[in-house]
Amino acid sequence: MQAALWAQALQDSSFAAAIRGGAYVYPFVNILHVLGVGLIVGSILALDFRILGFARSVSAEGASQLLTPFAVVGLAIAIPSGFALYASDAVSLSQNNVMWTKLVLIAVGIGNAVLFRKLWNSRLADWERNATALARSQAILSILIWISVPVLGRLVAYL
Amino acid sequence: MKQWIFGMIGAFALAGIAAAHHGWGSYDDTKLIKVEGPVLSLKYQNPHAEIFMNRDGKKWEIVLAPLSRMESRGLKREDIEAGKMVTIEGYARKDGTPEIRAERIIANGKTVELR
Repeated sequence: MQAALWAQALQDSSFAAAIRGGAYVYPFVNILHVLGVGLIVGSILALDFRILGFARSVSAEGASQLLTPFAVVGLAIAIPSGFALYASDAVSLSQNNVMWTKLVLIAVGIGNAVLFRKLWNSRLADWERNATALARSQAILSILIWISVPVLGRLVAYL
Repeated sequence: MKQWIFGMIGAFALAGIAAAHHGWGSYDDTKLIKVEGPVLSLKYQNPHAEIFMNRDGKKWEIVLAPLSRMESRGLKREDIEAGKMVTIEGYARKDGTPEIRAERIIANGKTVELR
């Protein structure tokens, strides 16, 4: 009940009205969101495959240094733009199970990435000798999560 | 692993069906419906503008199009404001919800395609 009131208040806010109101604001925010998602998914999948042992001519450490900032910038774009899109239609989206599932997966995906860095960052320099089964499982989990997130994100509009 | 991915996506898809919305697939495009009359109210918003009209004694939600698409095709906000007489052609929701996705609208003497 509280949550429903909060969603209604958010949807009625002038911020939400501005997102859905103009002819071009909504498509612009939508474009930002897609760009952010593209940065996240592209960079994370590439890094995950390197962690799993693909493209060994690129060092795992180098791949991480190149790709992690893209993922972070992607999140910095996708999260606020996603919140704006949510705000514009908060009441009905709050009842959308696909969106909640997506948000849970994003939280698990970010947690997994942070944990990976905590556990294995110092070992990336000589990764092929230091990779563990847990690290590989985390990379596979990450691939599954970050493919599912945009699939669910798109399905939010149709289911 | 492939099966796992498809299984996961399938499960999420099923979980979401209760909240079904939008996409032309939710509408019965074998039956074109025409509604003529005054606009009861207008929601001039993205991702789709909506108007409400009476049909067979019920209030129907008519889903139009993104604002930028309507404006670029010459349909103005004042053409579809509450009280204006319009004609819409479109398709009703398959699940019985009184909602129509409009294929086109005739307003202020203009016929505007909405798809």
